[in-house]
Amino acid sequence: MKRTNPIIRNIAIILVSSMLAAFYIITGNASREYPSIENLQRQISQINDQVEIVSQKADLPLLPNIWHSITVIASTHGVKVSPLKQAKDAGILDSDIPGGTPWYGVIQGNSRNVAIAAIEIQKVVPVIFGAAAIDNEVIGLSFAALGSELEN
Amino acid sequence: MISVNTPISIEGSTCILMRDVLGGSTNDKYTSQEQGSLKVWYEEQALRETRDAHPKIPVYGFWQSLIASGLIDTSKRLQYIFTTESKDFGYYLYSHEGLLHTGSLFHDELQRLPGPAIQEGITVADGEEITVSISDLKLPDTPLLTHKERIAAAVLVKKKAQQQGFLAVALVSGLALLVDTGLAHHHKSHMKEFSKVNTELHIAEQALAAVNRQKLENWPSQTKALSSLYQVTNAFTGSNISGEINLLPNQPIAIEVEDSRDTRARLSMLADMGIQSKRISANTTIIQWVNDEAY
Repeated sequence: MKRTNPIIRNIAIILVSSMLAAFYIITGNASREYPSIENLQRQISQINDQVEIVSQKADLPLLPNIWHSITVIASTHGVKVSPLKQAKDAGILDSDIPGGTPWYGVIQGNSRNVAIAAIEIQKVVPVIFGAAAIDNEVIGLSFAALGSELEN
Repeated sequence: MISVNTPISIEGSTCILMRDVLGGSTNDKYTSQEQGSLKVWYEEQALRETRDAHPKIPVYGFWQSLIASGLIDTSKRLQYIFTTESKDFGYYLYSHEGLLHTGSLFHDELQRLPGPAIQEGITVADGEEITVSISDLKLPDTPLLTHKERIAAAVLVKKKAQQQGFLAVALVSGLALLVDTGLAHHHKSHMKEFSKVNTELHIAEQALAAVNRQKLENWPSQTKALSSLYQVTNAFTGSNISGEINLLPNQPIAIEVEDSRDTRARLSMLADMGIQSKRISANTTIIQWVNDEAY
């Protein structure tokens, strides 16, 4: 049997070992990412501060109560109120909602009456007005009533 | 006095010095072994016989032990040493132009001198005596071995070197594995902690979302946009008004008004309120403004 030169053999062993080590490193087995825990803790702290600030505000009225108020005000101006089946029809995005739980609806009727009713509604209950369609003297003005779903 | 073929004590170890020669063998019964930079030659059969006669006692070469003791100087022409108290018998080493020759010395007569030495007419008087006591002798690293034993020893050395090589590779691999395992463990602990804090973040976000669903920081107001809408519809009662608009902040509003009557006065009134208009035909006007009111 032909004997292998010990120097060549040792070089071969070192070469193979190095290649295995390189393969291990290149394939990402040796690299480990350490995402920052401090960063998360900082975010938690900021959120907790925000929660504390927002918590000090008074709770929003319950949505059924808001809806009732809107209906009452609308009826005094001869304006019809109906809920929207699809939120997107109101032309109001989630990012437009400053807080509270939205309940979407539309007030319809004479354009002037609707405008006056809308101003009065917004003074009494938290509401955002979005898309509106005007056709001659009739307008449909969609809104998102912002209330609370839970008992105060 | 150093004696040959009888047990003696060198450096506290009992051993036997057998006769060997320097400078090459005279026949194929001889085998050689390296000692320092020189080679000592000896008869394998003589080695076996000496071992048989003295089992368990290591056998070294006579010249081998002198070389190991640093007593041989090959630059000198002739060196000799007596092995009897009466100094009638001993051995000599003749060195000439790098060639070595050893022989015996009997009654001051150099036996079987090589040709050059005979031509030179060299005698004991031309040489230098090696004077050494047994206590000054040093044992060579390896006793005399047969050819087979030397091969076996070489194989053993090679095998040992191989084992050491594999052991070193295993040690380095083991160490690397240990370090990697340690790092993996550390990473796992970090990720566990990260996951825990991440869950806390989600809980905090959910808490904020829950609070936001029940609270409102600022009450929204779109009075300006609604007032403008009222003014436009009020100004053009009885006209054909149409348009799809959005009252959210920063949205452009455009309402089309179709009226065959003179609308200039009404448009002027709206203009005073910041509501602009653009006539696009004889009877059609676009009324427009931008909701710059933030709620």
